[in-house]
Amino acid sequence: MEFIDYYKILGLDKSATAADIKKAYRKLARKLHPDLNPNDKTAQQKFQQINEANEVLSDPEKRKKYDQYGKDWQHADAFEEAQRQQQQSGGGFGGFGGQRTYSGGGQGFDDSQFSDFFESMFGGGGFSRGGGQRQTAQFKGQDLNATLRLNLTDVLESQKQTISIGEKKIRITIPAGVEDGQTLKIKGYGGEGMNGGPKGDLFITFEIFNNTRFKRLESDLYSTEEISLYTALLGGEITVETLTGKVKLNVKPETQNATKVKLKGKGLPKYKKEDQHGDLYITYKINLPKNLSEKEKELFTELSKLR
Amino acid sequence: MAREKYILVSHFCERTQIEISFVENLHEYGLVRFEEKENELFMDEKNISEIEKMFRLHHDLGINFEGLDALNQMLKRIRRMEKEMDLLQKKLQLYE
Repeated sequence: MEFIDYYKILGLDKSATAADIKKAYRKLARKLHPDLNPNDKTAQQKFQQINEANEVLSDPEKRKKYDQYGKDWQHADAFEEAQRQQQQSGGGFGGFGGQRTYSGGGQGFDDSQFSDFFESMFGGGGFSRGGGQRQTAQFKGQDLNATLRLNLTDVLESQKQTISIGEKKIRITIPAGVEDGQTLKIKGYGGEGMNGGPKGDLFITFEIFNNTRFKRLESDLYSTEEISLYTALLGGEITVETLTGKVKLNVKPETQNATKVKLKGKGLPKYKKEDQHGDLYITYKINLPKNLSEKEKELFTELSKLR
Repeated sequence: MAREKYILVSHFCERTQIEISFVENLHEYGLVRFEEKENELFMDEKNISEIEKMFRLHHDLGINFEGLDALNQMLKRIRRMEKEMDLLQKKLQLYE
């Protein structure tokens, strides 16, 4: 457990007035508020720190205690004795009640998560904010986040999977065509609500590992196929792989290098659009022959003279 | 109106302890839409998280209703731009 310099967190020195603290806190809170920084865990952590700093420094009693014992908290026998006495008399600095859950972008963030340092000095419990209004303003439980890893080939069809959340097992249907980074919200499978509020939600983020040679862009797939010089010049039939098997493809005569052809409907299923598929785009890469024989060189020379 | 998707505004305020005047102001500023049925105001449950978010911004940061409207617009733009950036990055990967 490390000492936390609350003044430093708010960019203040020890002589800061109550107005300075309020101003610094508001400025940083506007910058780092979780609702303004969805999906930014660093901002959320910093917001938690400034809240903690503000909680201590904006309260004259807590600030006094922090100033007195903060730096020497490791050897603060006197502090512990004082804390024991406070607890016995039913006082203390914790127990303000109030907890708010930030769930922007599916990332749960609970502002009651104080540092160990804070807990050791001031006890647990939440805190009030904004002048003590709405101290029990909770609505729903904390949102939970989970990650589910799938192979690209797993998203070809919808599938049912059972996942464990704590002791509970939930059976979920993963729609075909789900994308990497996509989040599925499962209502009511988060933390317990406060003051009779509903449960939070469970957010499952999919991590799709591409176990194929295809590149994916939404429901379309992309690949490169090598064809010989002669097939490119004279045309011919080639066999190409798709995610659902091999298909035969006619290469037109005089096909240029990097020509792109579309195989309609051979991409991935479109998310939540039944019987609709993306396309597969194949780019031809012409392979030039190597180690030419004398005869081949002669013929190519002859050919070059015809142009 | 599909009633099962709607909840009573007064019930929502009671449960969340958000002042009804705050929610009424949101409605007045066009930040949220209510439906009136049998002299009762109903709100779509989809709006719950949005109202809670606006309450936090108003309460925590002292942002007024005009500010909330502006912030909402900007956050929507940011989300759209992030989505577009993500798509462009994926497109770029096709050439790597």
